Amino acid sequence: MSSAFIPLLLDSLASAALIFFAAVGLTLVFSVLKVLNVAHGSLYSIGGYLAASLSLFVASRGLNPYFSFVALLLSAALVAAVLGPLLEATLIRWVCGKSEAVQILATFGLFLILEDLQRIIFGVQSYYEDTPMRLMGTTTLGGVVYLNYQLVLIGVALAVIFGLRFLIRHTRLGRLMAAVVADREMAQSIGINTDRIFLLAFSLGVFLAALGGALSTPTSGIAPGLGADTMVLAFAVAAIGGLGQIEGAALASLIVGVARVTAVYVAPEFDAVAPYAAMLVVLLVRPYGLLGTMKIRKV
Amino acid sequence: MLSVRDLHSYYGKSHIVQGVDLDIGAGEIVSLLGRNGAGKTTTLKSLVGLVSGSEGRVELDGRRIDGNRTCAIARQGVVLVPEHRGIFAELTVEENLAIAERRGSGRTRSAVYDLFPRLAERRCNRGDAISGGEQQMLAIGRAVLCSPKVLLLDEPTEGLAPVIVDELIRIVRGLAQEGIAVLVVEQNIRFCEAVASRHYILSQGKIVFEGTSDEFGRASDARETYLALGSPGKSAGDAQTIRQGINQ
Ligand SMILES: Nc1ncnc2c1ncn2[C@@H]1O[C@H](COP(=O)(O)OP(=O)(O)OP(=O)(O)O)[C@@H](O)[C@H]1O
Ligand SMILES: [Mg+2]
Repeated sequence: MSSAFIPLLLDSLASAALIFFAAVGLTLVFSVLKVLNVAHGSLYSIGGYLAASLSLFVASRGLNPYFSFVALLLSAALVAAVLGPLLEATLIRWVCGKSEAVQILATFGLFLILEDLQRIIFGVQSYYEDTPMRLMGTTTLGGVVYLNYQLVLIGVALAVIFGLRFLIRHTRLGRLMAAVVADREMAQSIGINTDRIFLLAFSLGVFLAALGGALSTPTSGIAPGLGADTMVLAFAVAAIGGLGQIEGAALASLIVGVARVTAVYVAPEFDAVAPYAAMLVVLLVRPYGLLGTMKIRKV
Repeated sequence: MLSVRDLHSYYGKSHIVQGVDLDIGAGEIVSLLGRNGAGKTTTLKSLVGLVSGSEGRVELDGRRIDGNRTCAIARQGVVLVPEHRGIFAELTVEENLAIAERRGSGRTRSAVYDLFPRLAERRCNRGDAISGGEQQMLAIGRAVLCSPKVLLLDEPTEGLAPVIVDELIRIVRGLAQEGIAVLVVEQNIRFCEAVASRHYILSQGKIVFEGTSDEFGRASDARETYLALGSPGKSAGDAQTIRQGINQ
């Protein structure tokens, strides 16, 4: 029993970690900018493509394989540094304050553009480059074999949860974000550059999505359609956790991860619908999501 | 210091502020009076760029600031303390001040705590867990941290007990003595008479009276027509009482 249960648990947690990276950025951007970015999933897949391309480049040049870890982080940072400011200063700033319908249509347009760009740049073949996972190896404990890379994924997700909590509660940037969220005009009136806060928050959201995509490549590879799949999962998480809370996103990611992996183990034909079944059950019980409010912070 | 020429503001099609001229010198306290809906708040918000449909010339020390973004105007030294104080409820008193503090600027949090000792006692309280008077002090203290040249106060005494009003009078005078120009919008005419040396009356978006305290005291017609006050004598007497209260 336990020898079957532990891999399921570990797979669920690792899957939840990846879903969390995609969802937490969506939530962060929504709670600070009040923009629902439908193209958020594409940022995850772009991070993945870039990481896979860089890792393959490292391998093809016969460079030290440990550089592939650098490639993962570097690609997330690159996507955030380039696409974060570029998108925020143009489309995202333009949809800020517009109606939800306009936001969804405009960012859906962005999603289509980003998907096509990915096809043009990275082609339609799938990428699979698992050097980082192989380098990390496995641990055998009590007759069960663990993939160390999965343990690292879970660890990084936990670090992101605590890092974001710390950022929001204990740093100047966190206080500035809380002020801008609470009353934009008042924040401006005391000299806070709200555009700068929006840009930082959006870029941080992009970074987290791209990091998730990059970290996912060694375990699951990248193929066209990943952006859309990720987006749908992130929205399921947002619906379950309530948009706007980091803890809610974490809990909801866990639910979706468990639902999905359990389906894979028990009834693989329901793999794709499992997250929505979970979403439906939660929303029937709690229509506003598990934690239900839209606050990024409480003192 | 602050000069405003031909200010017009619109909310959609309604023309709220209709060609307002104002002048405030360094260290001067000036009041802007008028009935509900006259356009006083709209005037103040327009000065700091919070009303998108506004036009006219606003100069600070001879440099135009109209058209700048609100945060830039605040950093240049024109700072609004809005009607409902705009305290960030989820942040503590200390955090409310910290977000306005700027490295390298002369004003510090400890200077604000010296100015408002009550805030120092409340520094760990949430913004919504302090009294109205403390909130007003916090709002002014936060504005002071922006190193203002011009402070715009929108109904600072609203809902405050007379003792707190007296304290505000002392504080506003102190700020003016440091060279800050203050434009105060008030319903509380006694507060205005106690602090301001010049007064403007706004009616339906236009300035209909401008004068010193003496001229204001004598202009009983303007006061009755545009402010609907009781007899001028009574109100002047009230101002006298306040002055005495402060001198004690
Ligand atoms: N955001 C807004 N959109 C549309 N009209 C507005 C808006 N804010 C104020 N108004 C209108 O503009 C006019 C002037 O309002 P304003 O708040 O400037 O008056 P005020 O002199 O400050 O009044 P009060 O003494 O009640 O504070 C009013 O008729 C008000 O209804
Ligand atoms: Mg008003």
